[in-house]
Amino acid sequence: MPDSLNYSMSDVLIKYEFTNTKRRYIGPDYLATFIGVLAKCNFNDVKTTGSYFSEASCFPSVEHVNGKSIDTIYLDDEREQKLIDAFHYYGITKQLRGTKKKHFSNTSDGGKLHNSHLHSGIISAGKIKIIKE
Amino acid sequence: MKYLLITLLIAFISCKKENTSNDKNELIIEKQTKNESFHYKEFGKSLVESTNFPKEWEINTYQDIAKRIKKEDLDFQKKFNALDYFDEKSGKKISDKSFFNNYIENDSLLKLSKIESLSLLDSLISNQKKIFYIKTSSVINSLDYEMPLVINKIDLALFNEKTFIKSINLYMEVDYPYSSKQNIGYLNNNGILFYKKFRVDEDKTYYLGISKTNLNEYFTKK
Repeated sequence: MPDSLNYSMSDVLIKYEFTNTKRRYIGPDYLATFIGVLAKCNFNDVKTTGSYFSEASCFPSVEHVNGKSIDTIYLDDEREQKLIDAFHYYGITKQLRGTKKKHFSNTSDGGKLHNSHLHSGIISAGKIKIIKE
Repeated sequence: MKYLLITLLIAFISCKKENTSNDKNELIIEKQTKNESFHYKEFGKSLVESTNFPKEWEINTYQDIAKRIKKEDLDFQKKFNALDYFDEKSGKKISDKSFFNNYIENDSLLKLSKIESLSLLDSLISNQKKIFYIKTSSVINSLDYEMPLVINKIDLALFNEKTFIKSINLYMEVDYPYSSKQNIGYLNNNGILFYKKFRVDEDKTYYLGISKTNLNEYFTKK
């Protein structure tokens, strides 16, 4: 995925940056979802810790293998809920929050490992349309 | 005349003895004041001391439906979560942190952190010395880690008037990208700190052991 995006047209803003991560690869369906989420939210400060490395692994994690999920740094609670809802709207079915975080709707407890970031993964079947030109 | 002299002598001696005795009393009182230790208040949960844990147990961080966790392991994780008291503690938020600058600079984590909040939970006083219960939430943005580290701490910090002397940790959680370090203390009324250490990764929680520190001794040693 690009190192960053900063697209703006009329009232749509699609913007993200990476943290200091080297996991800068992601499955194309998950990138499409993420761009949809960003466009829906219009936030200008979304930071992602990415998904997986170029060889499709995500060591020492096992959950991001083949780019089937993406992590984002938490925003303030109000905007975080909007981001979570947007992921949900675009078909993400598994979102994990930290034990110490607010019990956001559409999320479940991902333990202490998710106190620093939100985990979003597993797109529901049929949500992605592949358009061949 | 002879009897008068003896009476005066007895009176003099007894007065002198009384004075000596008073001096001793003053000395004893002064010594007691100088050595007076802090009256520690119970802090944290006594479960920290009393709950036993195995060396490790399995967890299901990603809520994977294919992963079966034994009931025994679920119970240990429940007990582990029950020890945590960080969110239950609240105090006076300190916006001007200048008084605590030396405490922060002497802390290996806080000196590298962006402190998002610092609260004063309680304090103990003995003569000119004070112990502050300090709760902090902070973040470390380091090139060594692929995402910011989240740090939650509660320390006891000893000050002599305005001079920071030393501190000891009561609670610490450091959230690394793929693991979490969790140290949880329980302080009893006698000043004994029981301190258990844990590490959590995606698959397991590891119990690393318990230590016991007598704060009456810790805070008087240089």
